Amino acid sequence: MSARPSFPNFKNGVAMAKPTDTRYRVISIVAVGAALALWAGLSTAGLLEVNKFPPVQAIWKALSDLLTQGYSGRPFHEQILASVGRALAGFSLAVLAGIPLGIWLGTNRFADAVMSPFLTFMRPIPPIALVPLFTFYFGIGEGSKIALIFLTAFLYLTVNTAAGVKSVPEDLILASRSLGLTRRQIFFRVIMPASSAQILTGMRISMTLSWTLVVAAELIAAQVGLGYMITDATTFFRIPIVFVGILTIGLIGLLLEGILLAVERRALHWRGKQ
Amino acid sequence: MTVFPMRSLPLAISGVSKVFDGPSGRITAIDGVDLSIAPSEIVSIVGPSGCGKSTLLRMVAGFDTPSSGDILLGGQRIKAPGADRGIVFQQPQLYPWLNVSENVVFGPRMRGVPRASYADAAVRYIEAVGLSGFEKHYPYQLSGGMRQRVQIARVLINEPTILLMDEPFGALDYQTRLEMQKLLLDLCGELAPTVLFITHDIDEAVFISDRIYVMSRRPGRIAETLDVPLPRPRIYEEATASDVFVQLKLRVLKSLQH
Repeated sequence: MSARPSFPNFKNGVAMAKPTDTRYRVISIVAVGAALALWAGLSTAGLLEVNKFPPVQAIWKALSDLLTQGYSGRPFHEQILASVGRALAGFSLAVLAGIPLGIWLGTNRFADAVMSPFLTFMRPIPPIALVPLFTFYFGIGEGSKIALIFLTAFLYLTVNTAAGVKSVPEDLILASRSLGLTRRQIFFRVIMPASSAQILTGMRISMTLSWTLVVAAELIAAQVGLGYMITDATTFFRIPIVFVGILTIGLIGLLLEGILLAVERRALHWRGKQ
Repeated sequence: MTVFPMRSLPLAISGVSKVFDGPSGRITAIDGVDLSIAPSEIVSIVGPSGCGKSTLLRMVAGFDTPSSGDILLGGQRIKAPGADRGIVFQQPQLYPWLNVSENVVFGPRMRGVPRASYADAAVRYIEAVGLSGFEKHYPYQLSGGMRQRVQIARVLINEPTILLMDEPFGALDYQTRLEMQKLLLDLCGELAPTVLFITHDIDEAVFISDRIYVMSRRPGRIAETLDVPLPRPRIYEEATASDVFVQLKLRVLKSLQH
């Protein structure tokens, strides 16, 4: 048969990792190294007030003390796991409730009309504003913290999932109907995979939200956890411990984000390199 | 290539009107349209945007029903969408999570057709649209023209009795569009499907069609019906340079300006 297609820019169409990507990665690593060196240098030169900005060696020592002795009677890993556990508990509950609700709102315009004013109103309220009320409702223990994380992640996931479902092109659904798919097949085999990209991205962002929030919640009332540790340590001027706490929070945040990003890339390889 | 002529059916549209309830009252989108296509004929509708040509195609597809009048395919009234009518959209509307092969067989697979009866057909139709060797590619790895080829193979595998094409090449660059027009004529030469083709590209309409219906601005009516007496098979360079082509093109232009 004649009329073979021409493939303009085909090789360019398949985006490959460019050589410059590696170069920029090296630049990033060098920048981090330089910042650490600057810090160490300033400390050694005596240009930083040691009580406020502890030198790198002090932070290193604080970390090894934490690893061997723990903090206020609990091992360091328990402090970490307390925070991670709360974040994951709130986040998991939010996934279980928010994603099904979001899918329903994305496919049912009546339900969406009923719910959307509440969701829209709640979303811009900073979660921290709810902490006193939640402490009053759910007590000072785990309940109030998990409820706060749940609510924030839930609002984000619900709205984001509904938007993902609504963004499935109308013509893709029509094309599927004309291929003979049943309503059930269109839901499970077209709408679900088509919106999975946005749903997974929403999960990653709300995971990060949950992590940010658990630490904030622990600043206010907790007996264990990274947020508790840095507030408590500040009160007793144990600044190196505060720094270790903050760096740990950052690293765990990166780790959680990295895990979900890897899941996303694997599951959504068909989006191409982005 | 081993593809065989399809079981093409005639389409008869008679006295079809479509009225929408808009925010500023009732809008007559289509007013008393009569149109007929014999089996294996290629018929185009040209008209300005908003003349209701896509609405008409969507009613043939079964996505919408006429307010009055009849649409009969092979003597049967159209009630719902079905795989017996192959629709090709302007945007490819492929499943981005499926590769070329999986996209092409998705329809029969979902309808529960046994794999043995569509596996060979998939190979044949992928070859027929010129995509052999790209079976495992995902849509994001394909150019716009290649995606349209996948879309065409995805409807051909259902052996439709009519092809409904809604400005299928409208989003492609000029070069690719010509390539796709040639591909369509090649496919029609072998498969002989009935084709209803919507376009606003007059050259395209004259080059591919046996007959052209020109629609007027809202309410959409048939302003003129023009037969295209160009012989087949048509060679692009010869057909478009002929007097018949140039005269017809001017007729269509004039008709659109009324």
